[in-house]
Amino acid sequence: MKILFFTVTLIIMISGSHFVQSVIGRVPTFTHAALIWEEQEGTLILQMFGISAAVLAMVLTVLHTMTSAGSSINSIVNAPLNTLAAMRWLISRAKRDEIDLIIHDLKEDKAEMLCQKHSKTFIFLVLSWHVTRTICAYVWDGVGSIVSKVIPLAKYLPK
Amino acid sequence: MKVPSPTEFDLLSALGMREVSGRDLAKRYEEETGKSMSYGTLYTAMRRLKDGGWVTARDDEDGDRRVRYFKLSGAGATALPKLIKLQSDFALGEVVV
Repeated sequence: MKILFFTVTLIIMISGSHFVQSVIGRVPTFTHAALIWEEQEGTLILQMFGISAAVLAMVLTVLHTMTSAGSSINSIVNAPLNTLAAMRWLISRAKRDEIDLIIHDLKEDKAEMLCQKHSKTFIFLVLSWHVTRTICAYVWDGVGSIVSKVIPLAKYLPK
Repeated sequence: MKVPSPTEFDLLSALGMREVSGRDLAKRYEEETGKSMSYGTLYTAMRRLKDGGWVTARDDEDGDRRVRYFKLSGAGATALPKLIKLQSDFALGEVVV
């Protein structure tokens, strides 16, 4: 529901800014001319407003999730782990086992931090940091795999 | 066997001759190098080392969770001391390219 709310907000804001620009006769574009403040001041303001509103909606959604009534320590600190678990569906089957292993290792780290009486905010931030680095590692690995497969095809390009 | 990258070389050095779980290997790497490594980087690097024949991997159950243990392969155990010696000779300037 929250993802739907965020997505709809983003679409409305971007569409709204483009609609208003079309009404007032300006073309919504990020060309070099559009960055000239004196000529495209209205366009730039509308686009910044739309993007800012969408980012604000996203931040408010995340904060609402974190502070909603009935949330326990587990639901908040597990949010990064749930994000990582959701990401496993975007990678190949061979690497999904590794994601499961990583999730288990992070759960052990979480248990250690809870034993050390760290605050839930600290635990959430540490897990978020580790999950972000893990996702970046797999994205980089995926890019490397694609590049290594594409490069041999370069020899078939016309010279 | 493909020559390991500097990070992979540090992982092989931290691995030693014993069988180590992924989590323990990450801690050992941090203690020996002073640098932290995410589990994602560790498992992807160990996968590349396994594909290169440097290490073997074994999955086991520990209660309700799966654990992956890594160990230097026979070829890796033979090649690693030679690679360490080559790197130290290169650092000392005794190897001329």
